[in-house]
Amino acid sequence: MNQSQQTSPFYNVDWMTIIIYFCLVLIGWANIYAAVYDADHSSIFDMSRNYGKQLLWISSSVLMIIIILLIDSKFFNFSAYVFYGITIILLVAVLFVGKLVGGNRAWFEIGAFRLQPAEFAKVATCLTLARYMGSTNLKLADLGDQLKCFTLIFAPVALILLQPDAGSAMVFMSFFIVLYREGLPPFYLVFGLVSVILFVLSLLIPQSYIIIGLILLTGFLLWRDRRVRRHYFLIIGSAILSIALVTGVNYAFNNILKPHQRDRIDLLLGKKVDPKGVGYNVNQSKIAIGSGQFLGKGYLKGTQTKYDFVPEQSTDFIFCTIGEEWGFVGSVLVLGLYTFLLMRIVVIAERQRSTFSRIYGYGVATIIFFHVFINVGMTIGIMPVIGIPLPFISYGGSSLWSFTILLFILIKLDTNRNGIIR
Amino acid sequence: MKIKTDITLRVYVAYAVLFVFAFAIVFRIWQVQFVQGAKWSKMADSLSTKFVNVEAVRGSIYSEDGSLIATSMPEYEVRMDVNADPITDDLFKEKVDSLSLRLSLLFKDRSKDEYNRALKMARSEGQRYFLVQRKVDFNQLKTLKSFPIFNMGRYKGGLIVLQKNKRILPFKLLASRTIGYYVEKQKPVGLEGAYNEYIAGKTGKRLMQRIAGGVWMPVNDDVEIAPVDGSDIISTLNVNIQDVAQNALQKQLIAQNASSGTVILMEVATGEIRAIANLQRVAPQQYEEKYNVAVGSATEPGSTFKLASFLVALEDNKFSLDDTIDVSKGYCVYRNRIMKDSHLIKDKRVTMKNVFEQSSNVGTSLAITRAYKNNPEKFVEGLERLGLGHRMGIQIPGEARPMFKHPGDKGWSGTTLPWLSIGYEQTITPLQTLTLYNAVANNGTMVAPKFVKEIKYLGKTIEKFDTKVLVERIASESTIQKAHELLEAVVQNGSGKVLNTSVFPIAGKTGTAQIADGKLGYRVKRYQASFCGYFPANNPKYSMIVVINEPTNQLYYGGAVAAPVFKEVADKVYATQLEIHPGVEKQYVLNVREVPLAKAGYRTETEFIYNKLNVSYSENTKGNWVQTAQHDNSVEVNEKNVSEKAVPNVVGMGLKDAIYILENAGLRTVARGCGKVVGQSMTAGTPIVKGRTIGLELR
Repeated sequence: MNQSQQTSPFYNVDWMTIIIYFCLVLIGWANIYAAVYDADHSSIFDMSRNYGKQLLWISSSVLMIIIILLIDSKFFNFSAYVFYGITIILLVAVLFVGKLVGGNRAWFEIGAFRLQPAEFAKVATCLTLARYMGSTNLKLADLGDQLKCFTLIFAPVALILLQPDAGSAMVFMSFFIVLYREGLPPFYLVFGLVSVILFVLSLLIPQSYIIIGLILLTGFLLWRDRRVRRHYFLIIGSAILSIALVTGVNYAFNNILKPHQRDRIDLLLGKKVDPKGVGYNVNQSKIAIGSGQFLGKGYLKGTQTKYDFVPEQSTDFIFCTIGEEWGFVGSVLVLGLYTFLLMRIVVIAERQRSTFSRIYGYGVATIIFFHVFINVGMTIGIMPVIGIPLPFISYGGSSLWSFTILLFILIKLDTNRNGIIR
Repeated sequence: MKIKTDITLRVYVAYAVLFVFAFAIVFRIWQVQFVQGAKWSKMADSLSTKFVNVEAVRGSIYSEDGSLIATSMPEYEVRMDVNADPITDDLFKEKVDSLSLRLSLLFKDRSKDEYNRALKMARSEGQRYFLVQRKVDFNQLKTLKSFPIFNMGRYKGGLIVLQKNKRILPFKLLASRTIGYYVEKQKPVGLEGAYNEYIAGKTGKRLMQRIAGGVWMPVNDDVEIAPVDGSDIISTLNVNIQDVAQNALQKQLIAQNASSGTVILMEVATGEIRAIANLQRVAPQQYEEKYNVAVGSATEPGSTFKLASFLVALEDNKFSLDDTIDVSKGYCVYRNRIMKDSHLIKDKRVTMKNVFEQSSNVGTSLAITRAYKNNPEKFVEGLERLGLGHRMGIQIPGEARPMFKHPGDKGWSGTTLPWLSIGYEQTITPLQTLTLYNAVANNGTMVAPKFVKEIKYLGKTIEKFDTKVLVERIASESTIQKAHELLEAVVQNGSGKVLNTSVFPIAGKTGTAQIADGKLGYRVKRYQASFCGYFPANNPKYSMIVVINEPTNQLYYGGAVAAPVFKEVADKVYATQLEIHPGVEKQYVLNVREVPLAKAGYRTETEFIYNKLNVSYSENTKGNWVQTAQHDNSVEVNEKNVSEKAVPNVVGMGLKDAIYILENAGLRTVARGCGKVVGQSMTAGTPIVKGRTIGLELR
């Protein structure tokens, strides 16, 4: 390889990922324009509108990409803890000096711009987790190491929950998939999954039925494994834990969750039908997507989004615009791009020789996956309404920047895939 | 190897989880967009609601005599949802031609082909709100609803009808500027503008819902916020007088080929404006009400202002009406500026009364200059005492500000005082001049002109406007008496002699002002002829001013151009206002010698008349039909034979009774003349042939 290639910031970059990235960003920009389209401000460069500002975010992201690609790969490993420390400080600070927006104290306001530290916390946590798990002789089967990893994850989660921004906090759960890939016992995932199932069930059917069902199931398991004594403890322990969870759910549901969160869950479970009240967002969103049908209504012809029927249509509900104007074809195309991107990231992750880079790659994949799944899921009514953005597409500087940084650090690390970063 | 398989397994599990989630999402999107697509589309419509304004019905404006002079009528805007679901391609193709033809025939604004093209284009463009026609009246709308496609029904046929309230003035031009209009963001005009907040009412709101096909429908039968209809204005205008004034003015404007003119008629005691007409030439021989000149334009009044000068000087005892002055030269000079009289008065010495009668500029200005040249301030103060020089404050917007100079003002020169005294170097509106004359007629009490009597809401009075007194006494009783004498003398002996033929006395003053043209000054001879006065002079009931601008058929004097209009209006007003006629009943002298015979007719009716008039009569019959005869100085009511089988004798009857009897008998009648029947074409007593025509002669 010649010298000039080596020093170019684009040396050895994964062009495929970059192309998908720009596709998504441009689709986002075009759809933000469609979502807040207004004949009086028809120029897509109008800086007073969201689409004009998004262009600003896009250009600044490009600048950021070049900077990231110019920095040495080792820098990210080296300064992971520093980033983590800074984000923790910012997350603490935002609780005191943050701007109150919609009941959440999640934003710093600097002049006309707003910064959401939680978005950047994802990047920092991902880097830190990768650094920690890659640098030590970590055994995730050990409880101690598990707890250390959990602490790294839950510190920012706790601070974000104080804002309170449950949606952003939930995204951090995606790291458990990374941990699982790196050797975390499946128990945790099974436990998590069972908890969710029990949670949903206990909201849907009377508690006593579930408890009776659980006792019957325990009896059956005990009878089946009557010869394996060492299973007794596990089975009975699980049963007690499950019953405790079920009884706790009602308490938690009624006392810990906020009314709007309760409503959203009730709505999702079909316990509440209120198309004009609580369910307004989701219904309008489903209407928008549903009315798009196969080919969509055509660009800028969506009526639901254009006439402001869908709330947050340029940020959290941007997928509605895609669904309404581009129909099933457009939705699947966008989801296809995401799938392709995720697969590409997993391929990149798997080809890393350094553990740090691999774990980081998995972290990137799961974060993006979680965002896409929850965001799209909420617009079509299979997830409760959690206000998190659709990566690369939703309007917003903080979100676009953080996802750009997240992805391009991986691309930079990948340029050095044959090296081992320690 | 175990570790390797374990990791592979874990990767597969991770992939599987991803796959499951991804599949769930795609499945769900498929479900929402295909399986439930229709459901969501429908819900979209039912969830789309909005509030629309419900226009309040604007109040009406009534004239003093109860006629409606401004009111609101519904007018429609017709649109078409060319792509309404029930209009299929086949249906559209089949009916569009006939629909275009009928539209073209109904509105006559576009040809059949043009409508056809427009409709087809609208359909192919996917329009759902195609404008068919603005300003459709109720009858047209009814016809429209029967057209092909539209006749499919309210929602199926794609017909969208928007109702708007259109303001109409039933009497069209009559006082249209005084009635005025109210258009948002435009200067308010007239009563509509001035009382808009009363007339407009309050807009209501109604919740509308979008239903299939993009049509909006009210959610509830009732409106959410009911509109409050506007209140009604009872104006002081009288439609009949207004009509007379406007016609008289228009006739004279055409005859004199004048550019514009104004007539205002005011009730003396109350200041109520009964008529206010402003006409302006818009084309040769054509006049329209374009601007409220009477209220809004202050010009140099000319000689009508001499009344003010005389009032001031008489009040200040500067001269008496019998004082004499020499005006025989016909001109005088003030600082190199010559003032001329229009008619030379040859007598060596004339009295001040003569000066006023003949409207001598020289005499008036000389007398005023002599009296006030050392203290012009006193003259101006005198004018202000008369309530002149500032706005009166009237009920409609746009009153122009009158203006005259004060000594010491920039522009007050040695010639200002003489010219001011004869109505120049100052401006005043016709309405303000009239108000001064009205005050003289009202024995010195100056009342403000009044346009609105009261405001009513649903027939209940919510505000009543009392007569506003501007100046309690503009001058002493004796001065007012002298003013009456002067104004009456103008009509009896002076420049207003044309008015002296009426059966009732008129008092007033002519005015002939030269109009200054901005650039050319007074060099171009353009005149404003006016007459201002009141009638009947002995007991003033109405005051009136007539102003005619730029008459171009030789005549331009107030007495010749404006006074005839005054006379015509005054005559008609006098004739129709019985209450101002002196003792009507005295004019009848009962002729007691003649016996009041009645036409032959129905008995009870005849009795009724005689009883009512206290005529004694003797009655010899109880039959239905009677005839009357004289019998020794009294009336005798005898039976009239009316047979149903033979042709009856109807001679002596009124036409009403004659027709009743004849047509009941099966004959058809043709009558000629009026009065009572004196002859019939069929001899009485001949047998009736039903359906035959009988001719009647009446005299």
